[in-house]
Amino acid sequence: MAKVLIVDDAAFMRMMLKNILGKNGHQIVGEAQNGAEGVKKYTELKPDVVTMDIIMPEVNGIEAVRQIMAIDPEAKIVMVSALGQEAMVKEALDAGARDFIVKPFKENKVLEVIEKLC
Amino acid sequence: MENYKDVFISESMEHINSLTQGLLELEKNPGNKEVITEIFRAAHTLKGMSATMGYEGMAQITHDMENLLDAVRNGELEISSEVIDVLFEAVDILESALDSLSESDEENIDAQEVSQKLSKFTQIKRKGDKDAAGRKVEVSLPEEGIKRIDIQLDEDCTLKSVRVYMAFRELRELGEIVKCIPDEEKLEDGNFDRSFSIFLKTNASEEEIRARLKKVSEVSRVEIYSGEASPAKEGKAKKVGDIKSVQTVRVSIERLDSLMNLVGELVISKSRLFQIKNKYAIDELNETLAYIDKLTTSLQEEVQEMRMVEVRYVFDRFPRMVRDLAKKEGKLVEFVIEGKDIELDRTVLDEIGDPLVHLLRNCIDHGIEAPEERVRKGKDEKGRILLKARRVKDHVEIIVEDDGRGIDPEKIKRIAVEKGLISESEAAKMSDDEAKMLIFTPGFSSADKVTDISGRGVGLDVVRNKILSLGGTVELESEVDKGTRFVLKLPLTLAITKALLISAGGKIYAIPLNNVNEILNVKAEDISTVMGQEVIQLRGRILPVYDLLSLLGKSSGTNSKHNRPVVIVEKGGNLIGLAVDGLIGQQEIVIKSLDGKLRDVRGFAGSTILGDGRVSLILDIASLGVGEW
Repeated sequence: MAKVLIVDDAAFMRMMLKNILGKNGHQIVGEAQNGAEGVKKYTELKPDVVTMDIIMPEVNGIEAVRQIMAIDPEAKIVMVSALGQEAMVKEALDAGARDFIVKPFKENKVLEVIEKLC
Repeated sequence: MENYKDVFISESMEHINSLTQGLLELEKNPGNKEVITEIFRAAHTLKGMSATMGYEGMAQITHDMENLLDAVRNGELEISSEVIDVLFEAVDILESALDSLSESDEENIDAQEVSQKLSKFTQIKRKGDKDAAGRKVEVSLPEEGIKRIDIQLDEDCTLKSVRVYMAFRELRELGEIVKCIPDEEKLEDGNFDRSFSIFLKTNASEEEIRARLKKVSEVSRVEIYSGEASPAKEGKAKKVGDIKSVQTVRVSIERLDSLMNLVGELVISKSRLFQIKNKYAIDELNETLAYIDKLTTSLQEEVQEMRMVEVRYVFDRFPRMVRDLAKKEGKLVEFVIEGKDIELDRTVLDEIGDPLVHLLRNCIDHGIEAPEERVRKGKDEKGRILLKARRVKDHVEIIVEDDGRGIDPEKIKRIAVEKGLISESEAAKMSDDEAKMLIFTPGFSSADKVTDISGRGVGLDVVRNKILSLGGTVELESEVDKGTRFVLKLPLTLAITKALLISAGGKIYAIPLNNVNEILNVKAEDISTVMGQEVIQLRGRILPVYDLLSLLGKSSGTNSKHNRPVVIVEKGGNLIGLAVDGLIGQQEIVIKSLDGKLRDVRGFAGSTILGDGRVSLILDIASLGVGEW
């Protein structure tokens, strides 16, 4: 079981992830609607895993990864990507993200990625 | 290593073909960026392949080709005819290396000379190739310490390129990525199926590699091959990729041959069953046998289909040849190929390469006139040669056509008389069409002078005999100053054919049906003797009739004063009659070639097994020893 922080500006996406993770025994410790909020919640909640959307207002996902990594180099961040965002995912990986999942979510893939990190 | 060599050779051949095609295109159209990229890629792939196989010469040449093409691609070097020539020269050497490698383990080439020529261009245009040294390292790569890692992604993996990226990142922690298949560009674009291979130079253990790759999600399978053979598996690895994408399997031709053989045996057993059924009048067998008949026919068709190869494999080598020859002869030629996708049995295709070379050489040497002569005649200064394949019912026709000077029957007659092939009086009686056919006579070569191109002592008679021995025919149409057209009619397959079974001297012989023109029942009184040769009259023509047994070197026991069936066959452009004892019928036969000591026996094309288990020899009309008459 992992403590997960979900960072996504779309409530719908947060709900989807919450459902998938929740019913498979993971605990959603917090949610954030943009990068800045995500970084703040990370320091407060110390989750095991963060799911990070890429395109978000104000501070985007990649920038948020950089900031979190600066605070905690051991942070386990999973990018949430849409199709066609290859370049950005690579950038996030270079910034320190551990893995990524692709929208629309497939339950088994999400679990594979999250559970691998725990 | 040996296992990979075959794959290496066949695949390299494909790349060399595309190099040749590309260069020809580039010569016509030097600005074609796409073609440049394509040949660059071919050279690049060849370089990687030959380097991993340890073929230094090929690697060296392709490396220099790549540099040159790179310079062209970057606009630093202009395509000139010298550049094209040197590139062609390089391709030739690569090809000869492959030839040599297919027989031995040595490349047997001198890479230095052409390599210098190639690099001369780049040296002039560039101030030293900065990364040449770096690339050299790759060329002389040590094989040990390289692991090949095959990675397969989940079927529903969406951002494949990112997974590749992650795998690369992980593996780079362990060592140096030497190469990957498909190439990095394709992988980065996600332009591949599910699998890819990475060659990693590393001291890390298999476990370490696996642990690293575990971190990458959506990986369904990882295979690691290490040791000496690993880089050489490259060719094979690529094939595995191919299998996935195109759903094909490479099967050696021997396998197909033996499959064909088995099907042949089945066809024989089938006819044996039919005979038994008829002999004992077993009606219950009817339905089953009809079904077996249908099945064997489908099976036969399937196997035959598998053996079919597109004629492009032979045709594709001609544009280069035509170009070179035309250039040498100072002739301008537009070479057009049509119907490349027509398929022929592999065996037939293998055999027609040389005849086609000969015919095309003839077109350039004898057919197409020099530009000034063409202009004088009011023709376009550029001659046109057409090589075309087309399917006509159960045959394939290959047409070789030029718009050159055509065949002048009078000139042909004159030459034939000079060479003593025919007499003056014969020449006078000859029709134009008959005269044209003289070019197929052994010993005929109308080239006024022996050139490098034609007139190598191999005449058109050899071409014709080859086609006839394949069960095909050659037709010739020609008009003075309009052009010449050869039409080769070829059977789709060689292994199973229809034959006429005849008996002579108590034995059964098979005559391939495509040799048989007609069958006559000749009364003894219709046979007359002219100049010691028995002849018959057929619709106003006089044909020689030979006793088949005597032709085969056996004494004929049959009294020639009886009525006898005579099979009229075409031989060397003439019709002759073969007197036999009896006609048995028409049947599908499976041709088994004569091996070993029997191979050179004249008059027989092979043997076959009849439905009742008896062995029958198949007559080869083209090589049947008929004396001059």
